[in-house]
Amino acid sequence: MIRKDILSDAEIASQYYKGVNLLKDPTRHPWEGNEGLAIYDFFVAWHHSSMMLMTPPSQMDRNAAHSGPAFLPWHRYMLVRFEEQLRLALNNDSFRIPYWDWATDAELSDPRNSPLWDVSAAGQFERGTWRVRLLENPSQNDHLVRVDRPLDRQLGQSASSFLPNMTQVRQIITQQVVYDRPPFDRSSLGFRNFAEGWRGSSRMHNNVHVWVGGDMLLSTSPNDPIFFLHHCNVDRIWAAWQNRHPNSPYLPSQNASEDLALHRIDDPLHTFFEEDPFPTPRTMLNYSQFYEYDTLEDLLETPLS
Amino acid sequence: MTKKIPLFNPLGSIKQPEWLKNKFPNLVEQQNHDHPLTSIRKLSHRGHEVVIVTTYEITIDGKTMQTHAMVDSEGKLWCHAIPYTSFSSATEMVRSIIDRYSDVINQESSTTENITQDADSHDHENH
Repeated sequence: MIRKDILSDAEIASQYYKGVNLLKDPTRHPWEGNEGLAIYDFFVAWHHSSMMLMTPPSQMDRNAAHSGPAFLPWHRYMLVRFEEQLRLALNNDSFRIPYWDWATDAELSDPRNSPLWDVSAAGQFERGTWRVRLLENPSQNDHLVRVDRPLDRQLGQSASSFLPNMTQVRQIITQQVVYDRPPFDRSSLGFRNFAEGWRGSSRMHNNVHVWVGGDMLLSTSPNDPIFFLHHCNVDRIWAAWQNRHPNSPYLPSQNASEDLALHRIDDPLHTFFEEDPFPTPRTMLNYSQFYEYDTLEDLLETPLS
Repeated sequence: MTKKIPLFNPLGSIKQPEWLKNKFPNLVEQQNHDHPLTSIRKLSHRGHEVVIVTTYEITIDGKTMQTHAMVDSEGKLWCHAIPYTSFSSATEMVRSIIDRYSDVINQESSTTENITQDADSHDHENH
């Protein structure tokens, strides 16, 4: 069960686009109890809720899924649950989410010309029937409200944004030998924070959100189906790092402060699903239980200095 | 086996899972939704403990903005509404919020306007 580069396999790409369109259809895959919303919209709401839970409540940096150690395992878990729904919608047990290799697109003279953005590919969501239905309201304590509008993208329009390139990806994989470090937030040194993008000039994961722009800038960023392709690539980068540093443990350990609840290795990850046992960072470490990647070799090459 | 999609209404107050409230009650109950624009920075310098409290009061069309925002250790602002970047000033942040959330902010403004107009016409009827 292989996760592949979306630009390398037209059939996988076609299945992904079909799957998300199915999950977005409230008549075929309704989110029960929420008229007009579909299963796809649940994942938008879940991402938003995780971001609104400060861990601990005394600060506003680290939340249940971002700016802290759980950033990588939580998104791995979220994608596994989303992938499961896609398999169900597609009636295809072997389907796995493809990834968007944005570091390769960064080498294009203009990454906006990547075939990914064609109307036959991910460009289709900017037109057609795709609607944004849930949005945060910054005037009302960040509550979600219902909207009904097309998807917004502003590819490469933010002056300060760019797609991180392969050299920058290889550098963080090679040079960051520790998973995360105190204080385990956006100021931390360590692989997690360089991959998330609060540290390092490439601003890695964060920069891709900003480069795509529009709805990808918001706490409801899963409204854009590119979100899952982007996070699949972030997960692949983590998988490569795990392969490069097999003896570097996930941190923090379980005896760390209660202030790090939901981020310690055996803490439950934020979830609305009925889980028994709960997923934890530890149970997400072995990605091979869910999928393999077609290649990690491109990420594991020694970077040019 | 495929997990069943959870049932909850995502609208209104921010929803958190029930098990989380039971397992980590303080984590859920103590979320600071009353002062979302206050941030506290603490540091030690030459043996002195320093606390810097920053509070912003921001209104858009007279309505108080209630998004969560903080000042990070480098003095940059970050907010929940646009969470993947930080801002060099509050004005830059608010401009971005208005640009990105024009549909809900315009909806809010027109709702406020309608309420004001309704109240005015009601007032005229009474007098």
